Order: sequence, then structure tokens, then C-alpha cells
Amino acid sequence: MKQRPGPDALVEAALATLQEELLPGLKGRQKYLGAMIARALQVARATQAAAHELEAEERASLSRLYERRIEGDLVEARRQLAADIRARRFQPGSPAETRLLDHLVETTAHDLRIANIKYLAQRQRRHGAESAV
Amino acid sequence: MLANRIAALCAFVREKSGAGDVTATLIGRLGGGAIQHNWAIDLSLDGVAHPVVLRTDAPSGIAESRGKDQEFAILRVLHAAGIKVPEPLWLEETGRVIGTPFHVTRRLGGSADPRKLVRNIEEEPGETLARELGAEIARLHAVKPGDALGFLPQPASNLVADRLNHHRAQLDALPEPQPVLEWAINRLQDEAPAYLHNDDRVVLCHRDFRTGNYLVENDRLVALLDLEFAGLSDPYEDLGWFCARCWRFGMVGAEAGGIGSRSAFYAGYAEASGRNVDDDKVRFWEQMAALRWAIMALEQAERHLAGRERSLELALTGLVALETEYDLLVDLNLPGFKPAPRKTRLEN
Repeated sequence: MKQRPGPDALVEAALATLQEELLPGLKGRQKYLGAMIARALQVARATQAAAHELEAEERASLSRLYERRIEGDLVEARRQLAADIRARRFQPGSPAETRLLDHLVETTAHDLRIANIKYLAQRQRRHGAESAV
Repeated sequence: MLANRIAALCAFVREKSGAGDVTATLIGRLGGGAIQHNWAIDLSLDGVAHPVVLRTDAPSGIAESRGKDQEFAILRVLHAAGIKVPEPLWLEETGRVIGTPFHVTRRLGGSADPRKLVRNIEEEPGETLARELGAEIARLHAVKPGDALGFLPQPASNLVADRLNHHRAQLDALPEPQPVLEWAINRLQDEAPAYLHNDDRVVLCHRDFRTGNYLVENDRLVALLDLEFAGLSDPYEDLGWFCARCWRFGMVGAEAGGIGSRSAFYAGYAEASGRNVDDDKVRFWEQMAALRWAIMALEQAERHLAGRERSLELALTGLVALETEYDLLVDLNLPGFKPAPRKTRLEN
């Protein structure tokens, strides 16, 4: 179905109405609930906009980690990765572990950029430690 | 639910208190409490006002959370020992009065709102409060559980290994794989021996001792709240949970709960307990705290996603796990888990 307005435009309009017309008049718990709805819509909008890019980046990162092309279901690939970590297939101090850390930091930062970019920016700005990972 | 059961609640209070004339006015639901619901109620017993808090379980909970009967028993023991907790008044454990078990405690003054506290408290009162909190948790750690708390399970001899195994099992129960948390468990397993010592103790612990779970009035501690996770553990679990980055509410430079310095918090603990605080061990338990909180946040979201309790707040809590995962990736790669020192408490 060719839908106009599309989902992005609808979420954008709903968010603008909430933030500009409803939230300023709310108080107490209702204001808190309104702010949560706004946050949920913001994350949904950002996730929708970046979905393809995030998937491609995660696939590329996993391919670098395993040194082979990763295709198919990404959830299954993550499940395999979690199992490999638990089985300690990435020995501490090894090149494989370095690649693992690169992958984990990169994918977590990508997701955090969608969920809470302010948090990510604060951590990266104030901790030189990030570069040590 | 509660608004329709006021008459039944009054009858319950009449029976428990022995008062002839009881009225109850529901003030509203108090903030916080994703797992428990807290209701402010103004009781009148034979014309005398009694502000109270009625605490029930939320429609769905998480496995670690204790029932109302056990939490009430813990409150009684702590209150009798002189620990600053709300006075426990009555327990209703059948669920017949308002449709779910509950207990009633005396309502105290002050606020537990963590964000307001960390942003409003000035540096000097923050140091005093941190010291006060260190001393109070030390006093709690000195309370002997006795027969009244005989239901508390004795922890395994290797408590850290046991906790980490438990976390693996929690990950297995989640629908999505969690590679970062699997890696964090590996790291903590590898690092644990360096941080644990022969003098490790097992004491009564709060196990959710953090900013947001205590009442403050005029910058002073009024009471510790939310004993639903209390149990026998290493006292450093409480110290690490309090100092963990995830419980500083953005004030990362104020490393003791977002309100003060580690040194003030440690000094309060040392004064009241007669034991110096091992900073390395606190920092180890801070990473244990981050791991535990990340998993709890995912479990909270799952309560919503699995349809057990419809709540946007629970759903959004799942996103917080990402922040803590990122913290774990950074902090577990620092030598000795020690970040570079900061200049001011407000730097964040």
C-alpha cells in the first residue's frame, strides 16, 4: 500500500503535537508520562530512520570479527556470538579478543546513538578511556 | 483497585489497631517503585492523624524481589535494632482485604526523588549526607538477622561465582542474546580472585542501597527505603551498588551515589563499623552492580514485552541496559577498574 503520510511523517507530527501543544500544559505524573511518550516516539523515529544502516553496520562488524561474510538472520548471528563468548572462544589478549571488543563497542555505541545519544556523547567526551577499548 | 477497597482497609486497620473509629483518605501513588507500588494514605484513628504508606507488589515482579511478609519481617528487625527505616505497622498477607498482600508503614517526611536530590544538594551538605549514609549502612550490616529472618537463604561459599552463575541463568531466560553481558561475566569471573580476600564477610545487606531508595529532608538522612531485595551477602555488594555509575543519576563526579565523595562515604562507614573500606573491592562490586542492573533493566522491559504488565516505563527501562553495557565495556577495560580522577563533583 502506498501510504501518505508515511509512518515517519505520522510519528513526526504526533511528536511535534505532543511536545508543542500538550506537554507545556501538563503537570506532575501526567507531565512525566507525557515526557516518556515523547521519548518513546523519538527512539522509534530514530530507529526507523537508521534501521537499514544499523543492520548493515552490524553485519559488516560481525564479518570483520569472524573474518568471513555473515549472512542470514542477525538475531541468530548474535546468538552464536553470545554462545562463542560464553564458550570462551576469544582468548584474553588475543587478536580475536581485540576484534571482539571492537565489535561489541561499535555495535553498542551505534545502538546507544539511537537510544540516548546524549549519554554516549558525555561518556566519549569526558573519558579518554574510551579510546583504550 | 485501592480506591474501591477503602472500607475494607478501614475494617482491617480497626481490627489491627484496636481503634474504634477509623477513616482513610487515599492521597495517591508515590513515585518510584517499578516492582512495588507505594500508596500514601492519611489514616485517622479515633480522631488522631496517622500518615502511612501502604505497599503492595506490582502486578508482575522479578524473581529476586521478596514478598510482603518477608519484607515486613526485615523492616521489624531493622526498626527494632534502631536502623533508620519506616516503622512497620501492619501486615496483610492473604490478599483478601484489597486483592493483593500489603504492609503498612508509618509515612515519614522528606523526598526520595534521586534526580532532584543530586541536582539540588550543595557540595558540603552532600559530603555530610554521604558520610551519614556510609554510617547507616554500616549499622545495618551489623544487625544480626536471628531467627526472625531465618528464611533468608545462606549464600554459597563462593558468593561471586554463585552470583555470576545466576546471571548466566538470567541471560538464558531472556528472549534475546546478550553478547556484551556474556563478555562482562567472563571478565568478572577472571578478575574476581584479585579483588576477593580471606576476610570476606557475609552479613545482612540491603541489596538495593542507592540514591532514590532513601528519604532526605533538609539535606539529612531520614530513612532507608525499599528492603524488597534484602538478604545475606558480602557488605561490599551494598557499597558497590551505592557507588555504581548507573546510580549517580548523571552526577558522575560525585562518586558516592551522585551526592558526595567516596572518601566521605567510606569515612562514615569506617567510623561506624570500625573497618576500613577496601576501595579496590568496592570498585569490583561496582562492576558487579552494573551487570546486575543491566540484567534487571532487561527483565523489567520483558515484563512489558511479554504482556505481564503493560507499562511504557518498564519498556523504556530496557533501553537503559544499553548505557550500562557501554559502561561495562569501557570500565572493565580500565586498569583496576579505576577511571581517571575528576576535579569537581558536578563534572559529568
